[in-house]
Amino acid sequence: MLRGMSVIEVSNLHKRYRDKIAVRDVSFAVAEGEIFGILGPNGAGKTTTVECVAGLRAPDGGTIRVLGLDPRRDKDELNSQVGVQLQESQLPERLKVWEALHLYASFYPDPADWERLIDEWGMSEKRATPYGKLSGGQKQRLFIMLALVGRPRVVFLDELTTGLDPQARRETWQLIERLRQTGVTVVLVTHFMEEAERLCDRLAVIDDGAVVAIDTPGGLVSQMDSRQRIRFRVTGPFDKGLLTPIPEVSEVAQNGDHIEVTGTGDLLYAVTAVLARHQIVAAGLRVDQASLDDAFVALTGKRF
Amino acid sequence: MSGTGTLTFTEFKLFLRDPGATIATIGLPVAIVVVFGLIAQPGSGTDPIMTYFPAMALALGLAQLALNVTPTTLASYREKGILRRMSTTPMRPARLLTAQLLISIGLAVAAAVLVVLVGHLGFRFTLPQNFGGFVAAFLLGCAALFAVGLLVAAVAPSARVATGVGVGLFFVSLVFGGVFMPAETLPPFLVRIGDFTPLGAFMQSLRASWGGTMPEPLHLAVLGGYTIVAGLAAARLFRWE
Repeated sequence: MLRGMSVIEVSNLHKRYRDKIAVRDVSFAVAEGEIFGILGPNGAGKTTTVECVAGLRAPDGGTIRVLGLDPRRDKDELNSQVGVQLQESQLPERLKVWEALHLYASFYPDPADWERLIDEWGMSEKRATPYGKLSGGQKQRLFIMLALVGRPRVVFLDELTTGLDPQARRETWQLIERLRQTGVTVVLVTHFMEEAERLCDRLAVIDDGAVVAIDTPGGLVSQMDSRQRIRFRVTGPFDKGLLTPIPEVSEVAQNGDHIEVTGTGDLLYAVTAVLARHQIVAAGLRVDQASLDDAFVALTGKRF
Repeated sequence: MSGTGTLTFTEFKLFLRDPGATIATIGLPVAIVVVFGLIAQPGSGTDPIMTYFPAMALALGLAQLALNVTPTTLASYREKGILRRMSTTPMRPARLLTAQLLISIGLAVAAAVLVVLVGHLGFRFTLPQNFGGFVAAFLLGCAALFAVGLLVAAVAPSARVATGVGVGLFFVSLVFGGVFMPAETLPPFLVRIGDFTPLGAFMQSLRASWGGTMPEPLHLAVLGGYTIVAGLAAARLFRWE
């Protein structure tokens, strides 16, 4: 599965807080240049996992190697090669965008050209705006830039789009897709299915502190059975009995004039053929296939 | 500029952008000297009360800076995850504390110079007569008050609590320390308690050196004691996240 050399290797990671086990026996590897997602519901142990990998927390058990280094023991050496965006971290209200970048660039031995970074990330107009006056999306953009300003080989992004409106979220996704072209390895923590599906090369699904699956988004979905769902509206009376005998159909549900048919195989053709023969007009016809959402529910038994 | 230089300069700009902090630590002490200079007309009189006004202005500014502004700033840096975020970079967050202290001490010195010069040139308050004693009192006073302020920042769970504790300490210190009112007008037991508070010892040392005598050893020892005890406690107890 791995495309290149693995830059992150986590094996049998354990972490407990007092009497609560936050992470149990988590193992995964991330290849160079990959966007690796850590997906799971709130409280699943995603942030704890990524904080251990980034060297912010000491694990209680297991081994972690990032770029061949131990995140705790070799923290100084590692810090110059990773970029981190933390959940709920802020900046001083009166710190301006360019000052934040200038400041963080000064921490690293070989920083990126932060003036160029501002242009590339479309923040030229906000260059002299204080942090406190930025919108949520702009703040997140600044944090991504700060995570990149040290020219890291690995970037950790924790819940980047939480709290953003859909427009800002989509913009942020486009920015992450641009990161892929730079060849940097990205570890993306998220609880948004759509985000994971769109951005990640591979995903670890974490639930209750344990990894329940690691695969590509497509691979996770194809593990699901190939059930399909067709939805449409009818005008006038409708007899469910017309559809139930079709071999491809496993279930027909009717709610007023809304019909939902579940089944397998060439379901769409079989159903529309029968409807046409009885001269029933199916309005607003939609076909749904299993999504990452469904895969997640099947894996963890929860919805969120 | 090195990382530490950029950090210190950036923090300095941020400090100056907070008008409240600049007014409380520099504007207010100078304003006090001006107002009392106009009211008291010190002339060249040698009444010991004349050492009260400039010493009080300095003590007030330094207490604001050390007990109020610094703990609030540092606790908010922790609360906002700024220290934590910095710990993922090659820059150590302890440098941020150092930068804050450097700036605060620099501002305290600037305020002291302004108070002494404005008072002397504008209103003929005397210059500190025992200059060595004045410098010793000022430096030890800075060290003691900032150590206490750092201790507040070290243990306060949030910026709001840090502000509350800092303001509380500030007003208690003003009362016991002979800052609100000259020590000679206070009941003796208040003065005695004040001798053992950092601001009280600072205030009495400043006034003694202003009047021309060496500060009392007790007061300097009290300031040194606070510096060591509170400083070590702050270093041990400081929570980064």
